[in-house]
Amino acid sequence: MLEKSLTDLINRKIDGALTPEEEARLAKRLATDANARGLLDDLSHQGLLAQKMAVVEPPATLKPSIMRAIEQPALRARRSWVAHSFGQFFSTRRRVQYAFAFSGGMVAGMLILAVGLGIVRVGPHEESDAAGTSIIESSTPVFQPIEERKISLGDIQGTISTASGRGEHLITLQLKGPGDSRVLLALQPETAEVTGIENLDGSKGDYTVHPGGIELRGRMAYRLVLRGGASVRVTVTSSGKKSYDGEFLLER
Amino acid sequence: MSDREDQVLVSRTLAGDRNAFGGLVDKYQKAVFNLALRMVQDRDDAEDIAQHTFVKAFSRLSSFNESFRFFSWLYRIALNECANCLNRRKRHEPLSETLASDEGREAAEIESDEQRFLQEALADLQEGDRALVLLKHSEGRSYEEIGEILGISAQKVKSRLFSARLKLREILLRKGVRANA
Repeated sequence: MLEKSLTDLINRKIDGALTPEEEARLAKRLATDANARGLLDDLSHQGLLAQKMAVVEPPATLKPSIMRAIEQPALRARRSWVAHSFGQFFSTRRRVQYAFAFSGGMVAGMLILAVGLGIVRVGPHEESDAAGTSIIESSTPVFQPIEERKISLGDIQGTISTASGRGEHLITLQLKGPGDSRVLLALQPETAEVTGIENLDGSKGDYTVHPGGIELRGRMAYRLVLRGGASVRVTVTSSGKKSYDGEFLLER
Repeated sequence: MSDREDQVLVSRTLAGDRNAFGGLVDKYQKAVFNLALRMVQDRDDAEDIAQHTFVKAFSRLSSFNESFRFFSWLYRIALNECANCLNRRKRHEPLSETLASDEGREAAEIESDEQRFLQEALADLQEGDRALVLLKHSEGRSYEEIGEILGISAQKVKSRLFSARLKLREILLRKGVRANA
């Protein structure tokens, strides 16, 4: 068993923190003490091993995911500023009646404007089937199927399919996996956006839409409408591990 | 890039320039990711930790005390995130079992048997001791810098590091790793 003053000297030797006088004292001791020499050699060796540990490149997705994530609080802050301003305006009970009057006026005004501009058609539909289903307007995108991929990787099973029409795209995820699963859809270019989302089953989960993509957590049965974009990269993570990573083209 | 340049990037970020924060991510993402990878020894967890670290740093940047170094503050956040991850994992499996799997080994990109034994020995160390050894030997930080990161005095860093090294040596000896072996 080595005394504490000696182990301290050895530790400081490894860190290159000894004075010349301490160096001399340690050298003298090492010359006659095999245990002390063994300790110095072992600690130097393990220090070298730790120094030589491989340096791993971080994933290329790390910085983009950080930059996307820091955009979220800014969006929320902007939303809360708007909410705060409206809240201030309608803060007192006395003003609630003004709020109703204001909202009613706004709705009426927008309807009149929409009718005037021909956005809303008044009157009977020119085309409808026997069941009364609305006609498909010429501006409504008709989605043409592009691809359907079967996924069967580890504990993730199901399909991902894409369809496209007039600048909009439909991506349908019907995946099953553990409750901690996450699906990240990154759109290319990032100016593309998610304009609609529909849950296809009743399971629990939530999602976050951010510029250039969406993250789904928990459930994985959704239909998403995307505007713009040439491709989408789908990354599925379950039980903390990446289970699927694939790119889908959104145009034929 | 110097500490002064970090301060400039911090100030520009606080003034609303997100590209400046991107500069800080560029500079430190590799170090934070590798520190996390060595602490938790799982690539996906390390990626999550690195992301949470930078997002937290961004959201709390206004509370950053400029008398400290930015990287010390960032590393402290990263180590807290590692601790949270390890606490969550403790409920499921010990760290050394994660490493024992092929996936764990691949994640840590271990090059030799000795490196593998070192990773396993580090996994057996207590979290605080592991952080000290990694900050000193892998990161090459001084006692003062480690003290700033961990919020303890340089003197305390020295004594705890010495004891962490001795514990690591004991574990390595049990695995048959020693100098000139």
